[in-house]
Amino acid sequence: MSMITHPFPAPPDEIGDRFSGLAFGFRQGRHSLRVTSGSYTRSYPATLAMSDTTGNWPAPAAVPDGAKAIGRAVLVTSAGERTALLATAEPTTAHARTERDLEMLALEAAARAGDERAFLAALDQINWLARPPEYYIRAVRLALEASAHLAARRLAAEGAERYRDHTELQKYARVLAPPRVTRSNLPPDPTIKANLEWLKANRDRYLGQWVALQGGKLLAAADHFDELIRQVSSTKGVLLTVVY
Amino acid sequence: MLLAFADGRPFATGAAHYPYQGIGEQDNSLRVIVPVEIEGQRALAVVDTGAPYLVCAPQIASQLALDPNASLDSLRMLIRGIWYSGRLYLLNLTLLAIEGYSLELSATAFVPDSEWAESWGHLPSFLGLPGCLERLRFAVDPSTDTFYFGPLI
Repeated sequence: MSMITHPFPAPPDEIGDRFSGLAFGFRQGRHSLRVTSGSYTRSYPATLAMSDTTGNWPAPAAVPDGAKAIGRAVLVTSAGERTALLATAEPTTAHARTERDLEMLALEAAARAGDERAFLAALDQINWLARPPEYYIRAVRLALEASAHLAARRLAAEGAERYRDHTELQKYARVLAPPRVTRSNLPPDPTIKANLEWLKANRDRYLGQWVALQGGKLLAAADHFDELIRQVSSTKGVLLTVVY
Repeated sequence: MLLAFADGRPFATGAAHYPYQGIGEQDNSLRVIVPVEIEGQRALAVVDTGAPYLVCAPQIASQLALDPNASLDSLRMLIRGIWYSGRLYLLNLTLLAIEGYSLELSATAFVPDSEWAESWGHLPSFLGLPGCLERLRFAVDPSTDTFYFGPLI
């Protein structure tokens, strides 16, 4: 997680020089650090930099322009890895944005890790009532990346219901909607069986090759798909397949 | 003969025989491979309930004249242990029957970007559960290598 929440005994304006916590998936770059002291909680945009093996931290060039370094922290992960977290102070207006950023960072971290469970847990923490349509779209895309496909569908549908005039969100809902049977009474086609029988009868001879079959007859065969297509004038009604 | 419930309601309205074999590509597991049409293009697809969506082989997709504007913006999906970039479309998928009726459905389909065609190699398309088979009844009879399918009615 790129959000760290940790009770910290020092005065709230100082990060102190050491704390520990559970972490996974930390990457260099921008993150958010939330520190608490008693009932006081303060959030900081933070830059994560990696120390070298001797414990030397990177140069201050890692500090973003205009930001004020207010302290450094050593984060010890559950695996015993040591990384540096350089916290920087930015204008307080960033604080209001930070809450939403933290939510999205949590979703992003879970998606990048391909951790569906973590993603769903982070999703549950979000109050969607105040979220704009672009937030829904971003969350849907992250859900897909996290393999949370049903959550992606649900989010898209909820977003489309709330923002009925948003074209992009409507498209997301449409593409991710549950599958729908459109016709279930199409007559059977005997050429299908003929093709399958050809594949069975000729498997050894054409194994691993691309073939084009129509009505149980071989139209073309090739080692590569592009070569196959060059030999076929039309693919309408033609089975294109590798012989397995 | 197609499958039916005890009260005579159809469980399956169509059936197709399937070759039960591997698909190469260092994958020697036996697979249920069924004939389909994807947007009218005939192909073979593996029934893979562990996968999401219809996953359309990029070679087959190249024959479909898909409109990127109708798809979701490019995204990444993990398929068989590899991250592919591609797009999600809503496509017509037909399960082809040699007995009973073929069945057409509108399914969410992941289409890997064309640059993944070489990496995709000889893999077929895949019929996953969420977004594809989830609203169908389907069954296999290993004694006859028959794949049965039908709508929820």
